[in-house]
Parts: sequence; C-alpha cells; structure tokens
Amino acid sequence: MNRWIDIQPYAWYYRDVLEASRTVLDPISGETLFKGIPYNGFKTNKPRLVQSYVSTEDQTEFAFPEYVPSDDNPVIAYVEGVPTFVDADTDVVYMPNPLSAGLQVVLVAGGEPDMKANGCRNAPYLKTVGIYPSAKLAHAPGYVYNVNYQLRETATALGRKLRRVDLDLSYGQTIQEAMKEQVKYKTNTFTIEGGVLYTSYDLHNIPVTVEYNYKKASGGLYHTKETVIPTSGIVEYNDRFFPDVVSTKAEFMLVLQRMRINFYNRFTDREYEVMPNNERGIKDIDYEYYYADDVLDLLNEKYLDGCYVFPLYEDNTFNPNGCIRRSEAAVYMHRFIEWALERFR
Amino acid sequence: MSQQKPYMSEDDVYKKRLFYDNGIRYVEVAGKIVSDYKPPTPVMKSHANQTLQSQSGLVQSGTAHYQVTLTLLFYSKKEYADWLQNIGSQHKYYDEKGSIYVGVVDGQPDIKVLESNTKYMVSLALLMNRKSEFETRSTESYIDTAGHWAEQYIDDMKERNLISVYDYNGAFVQYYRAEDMLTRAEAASMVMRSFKYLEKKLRGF
Repeated sequence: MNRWIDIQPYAWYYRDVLEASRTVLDPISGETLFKGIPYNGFKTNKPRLVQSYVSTEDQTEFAFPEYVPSDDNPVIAYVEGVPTFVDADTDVVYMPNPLSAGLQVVLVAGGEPDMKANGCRNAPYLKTVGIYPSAKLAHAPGYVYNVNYQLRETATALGRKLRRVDLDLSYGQTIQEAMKEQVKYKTNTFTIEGGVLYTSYDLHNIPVTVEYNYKKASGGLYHTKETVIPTSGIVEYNDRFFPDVVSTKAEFMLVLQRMRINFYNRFTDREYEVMPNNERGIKDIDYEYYYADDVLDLLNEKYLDGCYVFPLYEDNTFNPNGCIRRSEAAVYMHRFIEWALERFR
Repeated sequence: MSQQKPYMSEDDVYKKRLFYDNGIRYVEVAGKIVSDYKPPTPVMKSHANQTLQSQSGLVQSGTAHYQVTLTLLFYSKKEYADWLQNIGSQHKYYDEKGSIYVGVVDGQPDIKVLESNTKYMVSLALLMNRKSEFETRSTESYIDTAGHWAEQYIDDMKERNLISVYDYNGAFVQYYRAEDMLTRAEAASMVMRSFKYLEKKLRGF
C-alpha cells in the first residue's frame, strides 16, 4: 500500500490522491493508476537522515548528526516500530518521555527534495541510479534456504514483517539487475542471496531483524536470528507524490493509457496489446522516448465514427514534454469518457 | 400558463416528448410515440410503500404520483440501444397539455421486434411526479470560462461533478483557471473521479 510522506489528511486532494495511487490496475505487476516521482536529489544540508540506537535506561536525548530543524523536514522516531513525534534541535532529538533500556529507536528525517528546472516545470530528479541496500549475515558461508524447513526465513523492520522476493536469476544477470526488475519501488521487501541480505530502497540504514537457517561445516542445520543494517551508496526514493509539481502531457496521457488498457482487459475477451504506430504522422514523438509506445497507441484511438479521440495541434504536433493546461486536461478527460462509454457500454 | 411554454396556455396542443437523463443533461428519446394513450393520471391512493420501494429517481420528490403508459417505435437498433442503456435513469415527459413530468420507468417494458430486427416497438409504464425544480445539477458556474474555447467541455465535466472544487468553508471555487497548468494533485483528483464515474457507468451500478 502506497503511503506518501508529503500528502497530509487536511489537503483537499487527500482522498483522491490516496485512492488514485492505491488503485491497482494490474494485480500481477501491481501497477497503480498514479505513481510517485522517484528522486534522490536533496537540497544541501537537508538530506534523508536515518540513525538507529538501542536505548539505555531513562534515556531522553539522542544524537542526530547533520540534522537542521525546519518545518518541512520533521523527525519521526520509531520506538520498537511505533512512530513517535519528537522535539528536535540541531544535531539532537529529545524524546517526550524517558525510555526503558534495550528499546530499538530509529530516527528518520525525510529530507527536502531538490527541484530542477526540466522543460516547463520544476521537478524532483534522480542524481544517479540507485543501488539496493545490502548487508552480509554472520553465517553467510553456510546459509541455506529451503521452503520445506520447519523454521522459516523471516525478516522484520520497524515492527513490520517484510515480504520475501524470490530472485530467479537468469543467466548472466546480476542481483541488482534482478532486484530492479522484480522489486522496483516496492517497499518492505527482502531477499537473501548467498548469505547477503538485500532489501528494497526504503530500508536503507534501517535495522532489519532476520531469522534464517544455516549449516555448519561439521554438519547439522541451525536456525539463528540477528539484526543487521542494510546500507547502500545511494538509493532511489519513491515515497513522495509531489502534489504541487505540474504534470506533463506525456505523464497525463500515460495515466489515461493505463486506464484504457485496464478497460480493454476487463471488458473485452483478450488481453490488450500495445501496438504503437505513428499513423497520424505526429512530428514530435520519437520512438526513443520512454512513453512513446503508450502515447502513440493511445493517440491512435478513434470513436466509432472514425474521428480521433485526442486532438493534435494544427501543425500536427502533440507537445508531449510540455505541461498540460487545465483546459486541455478537461478536454482530454471529457473526450476519453465519451469514448469509453461509447466503446464499452 | 403551461410549464413547457410560459406564453402559451393549457388549451393549446403540445407535442408529446420523452427524455432520458444521460448523466449530464436530458436527451430526447429517439423513438416516436405512437398509438392512442391515456394521459398521465394521478394515482389518488396513498402509495407510500410503493413509492419508497421504487427506483431512486422518485425518492424524495413527493408522494402523489402519476402513471402513464407509452408506446414507442424505434426505427433503428442504435436509437433503441441508446435509450435502453439508460432505462434506469430519470426520465422527463412532456404531455399534450404543456405539463412536464419527471419520473422513472416502472416494471419491465414490453418489447416487440418488428420487420426482422430493424424496428422495435416498446410499451413502457412510467411513474412520475410533476416537475418542480430546475434541471442543472450544479447551481454554480465558473466566472472565468465564458467564451473560452473549451467552455462546453469544462461545463460538462463540472455538471458531472468531476472537477468542481470547494474551499475549506464549503463554498464553490468560482475560478477554473483554464489556462493555468495542471498540477499532479489536480490531475489525480480529476482522473480518479472520472475513473470512478466510468466504473459506475460501465458496470451499471
């Protein structure tokens, strides 16, 4: 289930945004109607900070190096997985009440994403491609996995049980490539390959308690439990919706295309296949763009009377990288509704 | 004074017309009203239970109601299908005296297929109330869309309640800002509402 750290319940769009990003259109790939924007560029001095401690008796103060307090960058402390609001000052966090000894405390500051001018809009960006966090387990050499073992492999972080992903590595594929393919931006997932724990991006720097089986060289199967902190050089975050960022035409059309494919799959007899071709001779959509296939396919859609559903500009351009105006959005949406009712009703 | 044409009287002769609600506005049923019929007759008995159990179109629009049976002749399958898929929605009937009734189709219509599937003769019963309200759903309108090239589209979307926005006091936001850029939050709310609207229409509930 998607949660966005920048969508607060008092915002007028709260329900719509949550619903739109939790509407799963394809149960197999888990694709949702709306997606967040992945980012890992942060403003200077406002990075994502995660720090974990085990408390001592009556401890109220925790060091939180590099943290600069601001309204847009609050700190949340997870005490044994329970989120707690805390007072924070430069480089330090104060708990609301003294803690007893031995509690796991994880301090998280979301950071403030940096925006970069990108065509007509200011948008968050990826500085570099992310690497999935990993940590080597203590009994890595003897690590074994078998679903038939009585004591199963589990992992928990912040009080949540993590979902295990089976990476069936194809020939020559690295673990990172397989993670990109199968985990993508899913949260709370883990896998263990050759005694190394790999987790999804969101668990970077967060302590994970793993239970697993291993064999000793002398023989015999053992079950053990340990807490490790998976880390990575740089990860990609996908936990913000960026409600105030302007959407581009391509982005808007991709949402309509997802909706359209969903309708075809549900209301007709066979699975819909995207068949892009530039039969309208649109001048400014190259096949090399990541959205080209879907957008071309969508733009070829016609009403029953043969008219195209989505109009182009007079000079046969679509301006996919441009920002969409509110009037254009209303027109596209209106025409899409008319088309869907005519086609599937 | 009649309801249909305020400058004419009830003694004039009016054309009988039937409309259905397609979600945005009333559209005239393409079928021709044929054969003699009994004009809408008030049902004098109290039918409190029956009215409450009838379709949602009549709920809360009064207790006394009228009944009429019409016979419609459709000259093409498309015209017939256009109306049939909206048979559950609210209907509006103009009678020959200039009165306007609003109501729902009652029970199963009796359908006869004529001339090898090219014509359809349908007789249906309507439960109706006298019309007593304005037709636009949204009494508000945008002040900055007049004369805009997309005015009709924006109005339709507003009538369907897919883009209207209310401020924190519940007052209607009267500016559509048609030439502003669409933010992701606005896109999400417009698309999500449309998605739910389409779901409801396509799956029929």
